[in-house]
Amino acid sequence: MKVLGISAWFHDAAAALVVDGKVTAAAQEERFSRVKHDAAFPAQAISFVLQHGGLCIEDLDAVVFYEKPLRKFERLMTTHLRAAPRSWRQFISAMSTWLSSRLWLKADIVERLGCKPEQIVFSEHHLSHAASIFFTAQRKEAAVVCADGVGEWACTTIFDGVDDDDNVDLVPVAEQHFPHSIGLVYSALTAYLGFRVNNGEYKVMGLAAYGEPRFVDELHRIARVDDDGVVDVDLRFFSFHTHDSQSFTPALEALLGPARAPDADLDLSRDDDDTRRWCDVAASIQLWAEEAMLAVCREAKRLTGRRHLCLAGGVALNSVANRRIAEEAGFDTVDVHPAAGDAGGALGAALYVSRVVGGDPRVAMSRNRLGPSSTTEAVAERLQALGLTFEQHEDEDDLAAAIADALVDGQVCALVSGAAEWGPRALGHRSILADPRRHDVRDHVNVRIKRRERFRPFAPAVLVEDVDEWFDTGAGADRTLWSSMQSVLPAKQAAREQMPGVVHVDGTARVQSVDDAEHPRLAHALRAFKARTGVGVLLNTSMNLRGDPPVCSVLDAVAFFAQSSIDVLVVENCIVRTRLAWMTSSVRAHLEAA
Amino acid sequence: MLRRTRLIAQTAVELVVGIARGPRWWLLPFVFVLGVTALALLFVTAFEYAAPFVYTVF
Repeated sequence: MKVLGISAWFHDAAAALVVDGKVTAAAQEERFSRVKHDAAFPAQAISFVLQHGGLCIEDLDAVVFYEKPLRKFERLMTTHLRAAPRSWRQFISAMSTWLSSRLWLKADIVERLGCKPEQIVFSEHHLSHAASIFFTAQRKEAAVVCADGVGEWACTTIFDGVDDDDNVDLVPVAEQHFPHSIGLVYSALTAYLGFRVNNGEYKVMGLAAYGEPRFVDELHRIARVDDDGVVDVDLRFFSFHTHDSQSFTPALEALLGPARAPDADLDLSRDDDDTRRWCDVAASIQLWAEEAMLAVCREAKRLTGRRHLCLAGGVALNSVANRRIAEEAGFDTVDVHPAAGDAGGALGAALYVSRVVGGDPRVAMSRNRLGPSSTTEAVAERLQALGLTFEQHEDEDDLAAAIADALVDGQVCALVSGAAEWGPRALGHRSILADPRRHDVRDHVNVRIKRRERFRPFAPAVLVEDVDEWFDTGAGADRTLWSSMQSVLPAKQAAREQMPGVVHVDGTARVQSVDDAEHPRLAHALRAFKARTGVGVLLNTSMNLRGDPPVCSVLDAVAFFAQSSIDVLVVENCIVRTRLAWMTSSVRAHLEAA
Repeated sequence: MLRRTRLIAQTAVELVVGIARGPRWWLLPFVFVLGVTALALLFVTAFEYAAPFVYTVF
């Protein structure tokens, strides 16, 4: 079966193409439109995946949308009516959006793609998430936990997944409905801490390491978590069900103190009462979320009795919670989809239709390298057209040596290699690399290169054979979580002393274990760096400026090189070290004209 | 245009049938009011001279 999956119109619009049970390409619209978390119809992403698969719309057996808009509309109406008359403003705003466009999604898709109405099917939001990880994890059986803000009605769902010769299915066994949502409570506290909802949650996770969870009892009082994972949210403290721009009420501020002004400066070196309190609130909501997810996963184990666990939904991007789940929930393995948020829903919806409805076979596939790529020839041609001076290294060892030399010399490199990553984590395909041994590297990359908050931690990319040398992996640990940066690990003393740039203030790091099969060029660079320094570890962060999505094309990479203080740009086998005069102004205009 | 109108009508029917058969059948009057409002808005945007009359109704 040839199936196109689409997610759109909420956040993280994306498209994925599945052919005969295998995901051949997937990409988020933001990578093309350059609008972070772009929710618009993913026209460019669809164009990319179809072109990559050599298909046109007529060739597709199905176009599947990742959720059911009519059920979502029903939930919106019910919620607003229950909250009336307080919710009248949001009701009018929501209804005008839905009645003018979102409700008529089928007509919109037909019009935009030129497909037949019979080709279009709708999956369920959490089923799409669950399928995205279960059918790519290659397990014959697993419990699947999906937790996010809210889908149609469900906020947390436990599925029992089976994928053997006789039976392929994902059966929901327990479901928690709106508004009792782990994701929405975390997002409300994200807003309370002055970060943007659906964007700043990972900042809260990073900030949590600086605080003490002294408010966790208060949070448990207003959002009770039972032993079976059932969450009971006290709606006197939250307003995400009645407002679209305010997710908490004055009662929450009365309980925890005044909220931080949105996007206000956050200088942790100030150490005043408010800053300490915000750090403590971050630590408290993080601990609350860990305990809630742990309870849900234990319940999943009890209900399904499976040995393996798959996690999906936006909450599954919480790498600190994932570590506790891996250690304490009682499963042998834990898998997390790289694009666990709504983008992954496009891929999951397509896979579900292909595997369960179409009966396509189970096929081994990459979960990470699904985006656009360029050949060295195309890159060289493009760089020449821009008038840039570059070195071309045909030999991979020479290229790795050049990268390692620059890094040892204290320079920061941007690496564009192969297919772009699927999901928010940079895994060495669109990455910034730096020497983790430098004491000033975190401030340098945060402030001078990425222009973002100083407290934000960086992840280490580690050769797979060296993970145990630097990090405390625990006995019989499941290593699948580290291949795509989905869990933190405690750093050993040697790592804390020798690589301060990648160990967070709480002594943990969000490790990426690098192997030759998935990330050949990064593995080469790591070996070359290790040969020079004895350390097979590099600081690895996504290649983007604050507020921008990660780079995708060669032009994006050149624009990033021009606008940031990066020292070296490596695109496939080409190395650019010199900036030109035009790069100081109107970079985009120049690049687009070229 | 005709195809789009047909698909929108199909979706509206699916919505009404889905709600009527589900546990929240009591939402139907609200869906009806919303539908009428949507039609009125559509009418106003399509025919500008109707706007003053619709304005007095609301």
